[in-house]
Amino acid sequence: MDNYKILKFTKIILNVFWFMQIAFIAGIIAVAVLLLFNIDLIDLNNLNGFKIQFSKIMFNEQLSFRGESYDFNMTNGEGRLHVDNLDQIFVYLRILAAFIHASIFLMIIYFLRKIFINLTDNKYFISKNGVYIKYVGFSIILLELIPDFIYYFTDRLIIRSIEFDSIIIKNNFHFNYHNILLGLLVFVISIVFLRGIELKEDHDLTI
Amino acid sequence: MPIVTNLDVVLAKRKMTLTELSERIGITIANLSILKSGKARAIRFSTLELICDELKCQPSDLFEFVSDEE
Repeated sequence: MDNYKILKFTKIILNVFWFMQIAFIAGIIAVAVLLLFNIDLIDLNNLNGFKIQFSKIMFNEQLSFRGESYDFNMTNGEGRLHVDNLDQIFVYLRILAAFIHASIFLMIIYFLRKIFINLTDNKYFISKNGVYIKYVGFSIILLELIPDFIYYFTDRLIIRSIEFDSIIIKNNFHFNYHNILLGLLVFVISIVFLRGIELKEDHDLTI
Repeated sequence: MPIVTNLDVVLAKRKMTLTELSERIGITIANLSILKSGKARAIRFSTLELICDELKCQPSDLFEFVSDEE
């Protein structure tokens, strides 16, 4: 398969992602609007709980092992917290996080589509491509930071509003720094690319 | 840009067209047009030498510095 066919194929895949993402965002908006009109549309008790991490869970019961009883506890784990009749605000916060996440992802697909359109038109070294690559880099960093930031605050609100005696819940801002590095790498590549375009223009305009 | 090209003036004095100059010195008309219109970012000494040789002029005849304030 030559490069042109690969570009065309990737463009088609990006278009599919583009429309799927738009449908997903439309779905999120529809759910949010429906929730505004009818708060009972989503029953939190039917949801599959909120993902949380815990430092320690202490059990009142004892563990029986080879005829002897032991105190025991669990540490450093992850699970889903199910609480009956939890405040609906948490649903809105989760929807907001999902909406922002999907929107930034859509933004990345948008810029990638633009780049691929230029590439299939044989416009390789144009400054627009460099600018789009730069935006993709920024978007990757935003994609990693913003939704996690909202999840962090949502979890914090949930944990503060519920009192546990036997469970110590962790609420760390745990972002994937690999993606931040990836975003920075893309950003650096865009700067080098833009400098390359400048040099090409200098060369073209040197008589 | 503060550097103004007077190539068209020198060409007019020599009663020569850009196409003619292009054919004589072997530089494409597209490149000479870039130079004439002031879009060029740099000029090679070899190109300057060819133009000056053909038009029997000095580099200072071809270029002029005009301050932005003027």
